[in-house]
Amino acid sequence: MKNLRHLFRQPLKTVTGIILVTLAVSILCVSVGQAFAVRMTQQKMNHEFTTVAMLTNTYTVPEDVLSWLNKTAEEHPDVIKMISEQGFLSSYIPGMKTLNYSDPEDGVFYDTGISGPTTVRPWPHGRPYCCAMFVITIDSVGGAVEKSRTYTTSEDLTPEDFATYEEYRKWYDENHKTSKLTYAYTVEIVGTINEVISLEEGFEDPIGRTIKLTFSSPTPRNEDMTAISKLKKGEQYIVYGMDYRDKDWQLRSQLKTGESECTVERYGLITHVTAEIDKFDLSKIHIMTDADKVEYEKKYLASGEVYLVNDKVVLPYARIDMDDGAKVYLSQSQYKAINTATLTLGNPISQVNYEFIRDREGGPVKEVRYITEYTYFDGEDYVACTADEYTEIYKIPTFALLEGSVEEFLNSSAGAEWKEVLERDKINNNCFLTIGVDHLGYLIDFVRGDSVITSGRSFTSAELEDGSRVCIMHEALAAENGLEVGDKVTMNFYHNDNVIPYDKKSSGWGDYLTPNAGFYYKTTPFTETEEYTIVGLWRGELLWPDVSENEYSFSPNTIFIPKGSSETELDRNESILYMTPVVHNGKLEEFRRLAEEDGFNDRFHYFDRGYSLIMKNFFNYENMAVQVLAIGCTIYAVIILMFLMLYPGSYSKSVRTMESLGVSYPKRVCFIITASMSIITLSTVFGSLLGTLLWRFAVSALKTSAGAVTELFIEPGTLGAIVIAQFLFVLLLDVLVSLYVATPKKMSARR
Amino acid sequence: MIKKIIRRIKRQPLPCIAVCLLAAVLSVSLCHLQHSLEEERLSFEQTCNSIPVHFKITELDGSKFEGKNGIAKWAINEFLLNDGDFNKLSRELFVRVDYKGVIPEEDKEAVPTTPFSGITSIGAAEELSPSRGSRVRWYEGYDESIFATKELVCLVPEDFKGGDEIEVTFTGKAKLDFVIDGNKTEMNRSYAQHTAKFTVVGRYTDEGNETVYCPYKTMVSLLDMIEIAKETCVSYLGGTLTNSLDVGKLREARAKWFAEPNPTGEQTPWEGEEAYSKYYLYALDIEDSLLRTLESNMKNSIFLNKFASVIVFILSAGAGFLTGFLIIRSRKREITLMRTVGESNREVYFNFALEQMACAIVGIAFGGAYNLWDPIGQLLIFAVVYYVGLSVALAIFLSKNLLATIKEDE
Repeated sequence: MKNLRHLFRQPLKTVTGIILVTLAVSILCVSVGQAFAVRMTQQKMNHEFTTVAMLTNTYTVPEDVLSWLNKTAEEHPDVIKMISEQGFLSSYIPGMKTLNYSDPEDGVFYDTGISGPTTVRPWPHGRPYCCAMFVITIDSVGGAVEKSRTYTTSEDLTPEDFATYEEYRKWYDENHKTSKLTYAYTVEIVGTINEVISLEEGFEDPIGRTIKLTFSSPTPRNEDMTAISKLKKGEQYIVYGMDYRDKDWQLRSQLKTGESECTVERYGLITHVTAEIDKFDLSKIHIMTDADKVEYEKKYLASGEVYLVNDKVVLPYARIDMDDGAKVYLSQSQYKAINTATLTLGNPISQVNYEFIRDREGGPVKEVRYITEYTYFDGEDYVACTADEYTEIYKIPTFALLEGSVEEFLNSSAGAEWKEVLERDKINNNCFLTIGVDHLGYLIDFVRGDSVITSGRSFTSAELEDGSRVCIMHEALAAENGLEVGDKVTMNFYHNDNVIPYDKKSSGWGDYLTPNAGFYYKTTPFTETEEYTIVGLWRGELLWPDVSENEYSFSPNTIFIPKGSSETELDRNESILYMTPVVHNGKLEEFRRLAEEDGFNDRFHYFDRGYSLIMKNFFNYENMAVQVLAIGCTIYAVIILMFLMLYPGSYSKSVRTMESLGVSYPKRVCFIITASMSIITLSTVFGSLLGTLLWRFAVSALKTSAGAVTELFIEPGTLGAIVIAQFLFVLLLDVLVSLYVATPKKMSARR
Repeated sequence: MIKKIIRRIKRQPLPCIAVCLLAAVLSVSLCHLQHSLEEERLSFEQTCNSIPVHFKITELDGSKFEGKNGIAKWAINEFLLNDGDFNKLSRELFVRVDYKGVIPEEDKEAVPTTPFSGITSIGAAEELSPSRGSRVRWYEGYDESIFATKELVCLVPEDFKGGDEIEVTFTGKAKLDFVIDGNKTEMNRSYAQHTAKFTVVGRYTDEGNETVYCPYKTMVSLLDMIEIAKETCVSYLGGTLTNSLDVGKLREARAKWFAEPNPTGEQTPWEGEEAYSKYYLYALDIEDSLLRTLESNMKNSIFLNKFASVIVFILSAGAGFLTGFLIIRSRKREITLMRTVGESNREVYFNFALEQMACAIVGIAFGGAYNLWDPIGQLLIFAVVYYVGLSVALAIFLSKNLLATIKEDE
């Protein structure tokens, strides 16, 4: 304490010294802060820029590639960052509508049955489930019709395999053998729709429509087939199916777009054009008589339109007289579609399941193997079961006699199952495929720019590591539901049941490409319910991408979440969508070399989002920041040296006096150190505070103006370490200077 | 005067050298700081420029342009004409024109129509990009530059069976002639046709793709010959910015002609060009999300660096002020002595001020030479602040009573 008294004797000098060192420490803190900011920027850039390899010409991950990737990742961890494995779940979000490929508001409702030009792409999982429950009156019940197919049990040769056509014919007559396989029995029931209990939004009101119900069974005699044979004309039934099609509406859509051809006669001329018909007026539809057909043929040939089959004009079946005087000619199949709808009555096993056993691909069938083993999903795993057990678990109601009102029926014990179906249908219309990602930049569609974040942001590294409950959804989906970045949605997760017979699959690709939410059923109960915050919105190249053009695309009903955010284990499959080899940024050439050495280079295409382009310039940028840090440290050091010269150094006179009075050397050293270190300690605290405050002020100002994230704040631990380090450094210097100043010197004449 | 200053410096060399060194080091630091900031800015621009910014016409909701009715002429002109708003900003433009041509099979029985696309480069045909899993095999002596020519050359699918010389017939739209003869009306159809011979110069693999690709200018000429307006066949229009940092200008150009993609695909009123339409007909998607991310992060960092530099400068100036103050304080005895022997306050002030400023200026001169005394303003400010510091100290001492100062010293 005594040693500190003289500080108060020269308060101005003391305060000046404190301010000087405070300034030096502040300079150091601010310099470190900017270097820290650049470091954080570099880390953020490393996070944003991802280098990945894309598998080409395959929809599933080949075994040999996967083995090679795993082996290479183990041997070269400095090249391969990770083999990212995404997973998926389905989630039910109450109140949130899915987007439909069919746009019922525009009156266009596409159906898988359409195979037209490119203006209509089949996208079955874009349309809603076409579930429908009606009350119908039976008009007629057909008999059981056998469904069979023939298969070749001999070599299947073609005329090109023979020298002459005659030889081929001879061989064909003697050797070609086929067999018939009956795989199902179908019954067609025709009725009239009296009441709609449940139907997807957007369909036209079908009351009064003729409905053709199809029931399929693997055998001609089972409980349901027996029940169907007892259906009587005029009876009222409640029916349920999952593939409702409005054929009338479909026909009108096809005539409008030109996908279904018709001819239109106007001003005496016949042309192939489109026809816009709002509603078929049955009173204006006439079946063509023979005389009508003869006149038509004359007009048709005179028009010059060439549409012949076997050199004969294709004659229409019916004619519609339009209000504007034009005449629209329809074929028989088109005529039959007027005012009709179709529905298949569901049955888990609707046909005999079989597979053909051949020696080689394309060879003759050696054996027909009937599949009798089934599996069902118990919520966690797939369990073996018999056909009867499978039917029991997955059956849905098909038809039931309605003797009272619909409400009475649904509230009865017999109607309980039907009521359950209605509840489930409501849930299924609000279900979304939810993909858990390691990083959005590991998904090929994002990394090559076909899908982009349009508002908000992608997941931060902290969110991905911590498994934060945040999500990114399609901008059109958000707009449809009035959602924006920052809003919250409640997700109820459930697994996908891969053996359920009622799922939406993209045509031809199964679950592998353009996947969809799984069908919610009693085998897939909810596993957890969590609230997620929307942090970003994305958009793909096409709202409904064509998988043949872009196999890595996602439907707009897809939501992305950090992989660790759900406690439910994610489902996976061998699809290329869910596996991405990730290479360390800047190591692309090495990976390419390794792939080429082992003969795998042709199997990949590479993306680095431009990292290789910015790498060199970005490193220059980092170097500049290091130089700025060095400058700050230099200025700090110079100021400290000045301080040491002006403070401990200035005590030499006092120390000489103390020496002459007989004060010991350690006490003299202690005197100098105590005085100067008091100033340094106070200054270090003030300087750290000032430096931190200045830095926080700058980052806050930046955040206000540019929305910067708060990651640029210096962590308290780091700052503490820097302050302590510089304090110890100065202490060391102070001790050295003090020791020098306090050292006894030869007496010399005072200047 | 100079000799006097040198004499004074010789008497107390250490503090003077210290001042010189301090000034030199701070000058070097400040100059280097400025130099680093400038290099940082250049680095930032170069880094951002390394990221190419692509843009293309899309549907109003941002999805891929379907091109059912082509693209209006004015839009094409803005891209292709030299004074077009987008042409001026782009280093590369991508245009694609689609039409169907008839290539007779060898046996002359089947006459299929083959989709033909005229493109300015492979960038206009995304399906040919290696990122889609496609591979292009060029014949010797040929490469992608053929698409910039007007030659009758083409790129065909790998399994194309037409050989390396193919004859293609393009047929224009039907022309209807009505002949009225009394009560009868006869309608005659005729078509403009043109047959061209193409040389195959390469083949590509892209599953399911049967398109034959030829140069854009070639396709436009053929369409002219069959009296088809090229605008009705354009299915892709896009480009790449010359300077990625010109995104702002691109956005301004976009606002003039195209809508920004919006998720609902709603029509946006088109003020200013109502002669064409009340609503924007097309959207223009600018693919700059990566650039924006990079730019915002680097700009944040540069802003903080600049802030740090300013703070460092201010703090350094403050340190200079205090150093001047303290150095004078450390020579209090000398000042007192000078006053005792009769030197006036003014003389004392000038002697010390000149001595210290000479040291500081020498230090600044040597230090500032590192960056050719740039920024001269900051160096001068530093010198001024140092001068103010020592002036304040001198003023304090000189204003004190001499006897009181002597007593203090004793």
